[in-house]
Amino acid sequence: MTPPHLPTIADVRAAAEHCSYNAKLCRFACPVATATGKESVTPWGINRAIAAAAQAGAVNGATAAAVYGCTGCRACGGVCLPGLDLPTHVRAARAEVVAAGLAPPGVDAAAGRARTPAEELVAGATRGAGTVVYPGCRSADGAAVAALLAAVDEPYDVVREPTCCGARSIDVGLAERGLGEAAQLAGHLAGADRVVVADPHCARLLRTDHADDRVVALPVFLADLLDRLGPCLRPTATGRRVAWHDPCWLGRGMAAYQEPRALLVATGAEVVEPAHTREHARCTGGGMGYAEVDPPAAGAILAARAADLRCALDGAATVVTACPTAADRLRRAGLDAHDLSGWLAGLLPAGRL
Amino acid sequence: MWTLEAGLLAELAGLVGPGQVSTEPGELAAHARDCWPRLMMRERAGEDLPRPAAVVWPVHTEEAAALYRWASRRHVALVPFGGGGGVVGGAAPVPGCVAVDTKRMNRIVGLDELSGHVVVQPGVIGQNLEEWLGPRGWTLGHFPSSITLSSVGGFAAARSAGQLSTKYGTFPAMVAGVEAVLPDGSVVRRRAQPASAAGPDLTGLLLGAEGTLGLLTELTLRVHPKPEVMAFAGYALPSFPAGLAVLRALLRRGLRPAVLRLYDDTETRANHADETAEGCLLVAVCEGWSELVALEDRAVRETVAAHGGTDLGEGPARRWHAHRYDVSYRLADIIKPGGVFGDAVAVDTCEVAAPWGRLQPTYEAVRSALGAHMDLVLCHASHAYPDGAALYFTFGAAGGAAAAAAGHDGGGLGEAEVRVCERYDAAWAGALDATVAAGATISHHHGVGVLRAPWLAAELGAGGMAMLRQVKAALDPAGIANPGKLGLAPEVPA
Repeated sequence: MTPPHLPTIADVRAAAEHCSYNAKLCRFACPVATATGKESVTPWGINRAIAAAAQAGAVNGATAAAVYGCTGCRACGGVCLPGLDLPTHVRAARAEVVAAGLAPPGVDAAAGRARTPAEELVAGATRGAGTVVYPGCRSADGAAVAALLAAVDEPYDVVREPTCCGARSIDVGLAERGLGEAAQLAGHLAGADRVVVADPHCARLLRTDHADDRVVALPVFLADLLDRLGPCLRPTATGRRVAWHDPCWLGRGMAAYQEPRALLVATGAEVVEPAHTREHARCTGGGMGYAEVDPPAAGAILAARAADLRCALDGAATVVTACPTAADRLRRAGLDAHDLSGWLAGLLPAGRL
Repeated sequence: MWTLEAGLLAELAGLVGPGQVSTEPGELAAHARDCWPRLMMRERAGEDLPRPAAVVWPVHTEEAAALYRWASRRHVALVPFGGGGGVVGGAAPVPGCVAVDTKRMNRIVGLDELSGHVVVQPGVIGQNLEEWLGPRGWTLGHFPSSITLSSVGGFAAARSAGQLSTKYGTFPAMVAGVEAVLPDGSVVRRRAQPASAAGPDLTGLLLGAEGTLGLLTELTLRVHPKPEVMAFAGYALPSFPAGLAVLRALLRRGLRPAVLRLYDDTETRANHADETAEGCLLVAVCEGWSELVALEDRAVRETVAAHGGTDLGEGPARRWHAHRYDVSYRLADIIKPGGVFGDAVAVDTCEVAAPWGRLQPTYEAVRSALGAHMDLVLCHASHAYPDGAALYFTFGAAGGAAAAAAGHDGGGLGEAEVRVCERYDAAWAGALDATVAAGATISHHHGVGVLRAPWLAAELGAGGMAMLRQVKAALDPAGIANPGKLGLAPEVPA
């Protein structure tokens, strides 16, 4: 496993400067720009601020205001012909903003927290199994994951210690803390042949930024087990209408669009698609600490996404996702939203959960 | 100079809701320019562009009305800012002004499917509107290359045209009704009608005014059923005049292909050499009801053949369609410091239009004028009409050896920037002088802004310009509405 390389502003200067001479062509896709109407938090505005900081050799209040206006949803990257990676630029700049003491309120609250896995997940684990489950620091449903793996008799071990992968800390600019968390987790995963990660955000960081090809996101892992898992699920959800909310880090982050849909289809449910889906799915506003830094704008983003989903569902029905933050926020918006593992486990025959 | 003192700023904040006014330096800097390449060049050369003193985001008509009423009374300049995608400086601030950002007026109010009308606020982004209309079976049919960043208010303010305008018309043809706040804060509403002979066209007066007569706050737009099918075709014509003759013949026969783009031989060689080794490339796209499309597609083939053209198959048009917005991404590659052609590069586009009877002389005159100052001049006919067409010139010049030797921070670079800006300014002056002399219009769809303001009087004539000034003086006696644009109000109130 390669330690994550955290680019600096100097590393991303050329790309940021390139964007600042472009024409904001990704504006339509940016949830923050749409919710706020601000030019300074379009991907162009953010990159412009980063380029200016690089040129000046220092960040300032304007840099801070711009670079914390991003949810890391990667929607801009999906339509960016030069293929710029805004979240990487933002992380680089936020680290320097924090180091300069200019971070906005809310950053600490948004950082990662070391969490102990659910008791049920530990209880079902087999010490020394080659497959190691890492649930992540958010509210992934460990009991449900345990039930699903038990249903298919898949042995697994689990990271038992309180850990955090560091992604959320790095996201908000607490780079040193994030790197420390990442190093600690790496030690716990040293003997694993395969690492199943429940939280797509953690999975993206470990697989891509850490270049750890042992890592697989939970929905992808479960989809690989469909020949065994499918018979346990079918046709328990026949007739139910379910919308899949593509998590930003699973979809645009790892191009895993088909796998979660295959799991839903295996339950017999009718999968409906919102107007913005797959590569074009809108985020719920909670990524990269945005909900903590600008709650009103994050709320507007959530409201727009909830409306998108309600329109697709055309009445009372269920939204399923694999992003713990999105599931939580969508529930707060009044939707019947579920984490994928929890929803699937709820369909298992009685006694399996 | 306009000023916004602290007391006025407090008054401004009191006109709108919390969080709707900003004086954050980053926000002001981000409103310092639109996409006019000249402003980018000035910024590249290290110039601090003028910034607004504040940015305000009204959310509904009443707030906008209060804002304009207050600004007229207090002599505060208001500069509307939509998507910031304009290329003539129409949204460029004057020092001390307030930028009126319309992007929180972004509601799609409703769709009247019986009439084929959609009602929108001005801050709706073009692409978002199409994404809303599409699943409902409709399209606006307005696809400028800036569609993903620009707003419907901007389309109306600049009398924009999209790439499919031969079928769907330019933006003014899509506007069935408007609501606007005039500079004194009064609200004028023109109810949507299919046509009207009830007096002069007040809607038309507001379109293309670029915010100098107030702020558009709601638009009722004509929408069209989504096309059933699309037909793609590419042809090589033996010459640009032969290609123009094809366009003329097609339009005269009553045909309306959605896209007819004819590239002159220079642009064909520069950008489409893979499509055809010789002649001029014509891209044609027909869309709509399947039977009509089949007829139109056949008529295009027959007409091209009759003019000595060669059928290149679907490929050129399909490739154009797949990459139709990419050109906007290429700007950064060229204009940024250390771009693909080096430092201190000038690049821009100039669109003019003329009746068929004056089109070829216009083409030759403008091309020659640009070529006198620029290293490269390309042209294509971008929009065709029964009585004429638009010519879209792309031009550029490298800064020269001094820029390359100086490097990004070298002392010689400033000099190279000055020289290339002089060439750029001379090219524009020559091109617009030539356009006026040829009897063509100085803008087909980018508008006037700051860039073309000195030539507007020549376009409108002394009487026309005097009439426009009188309208401006009557509606905006304080001169607060986007001062300096269209060459109208002085930057200092009278």
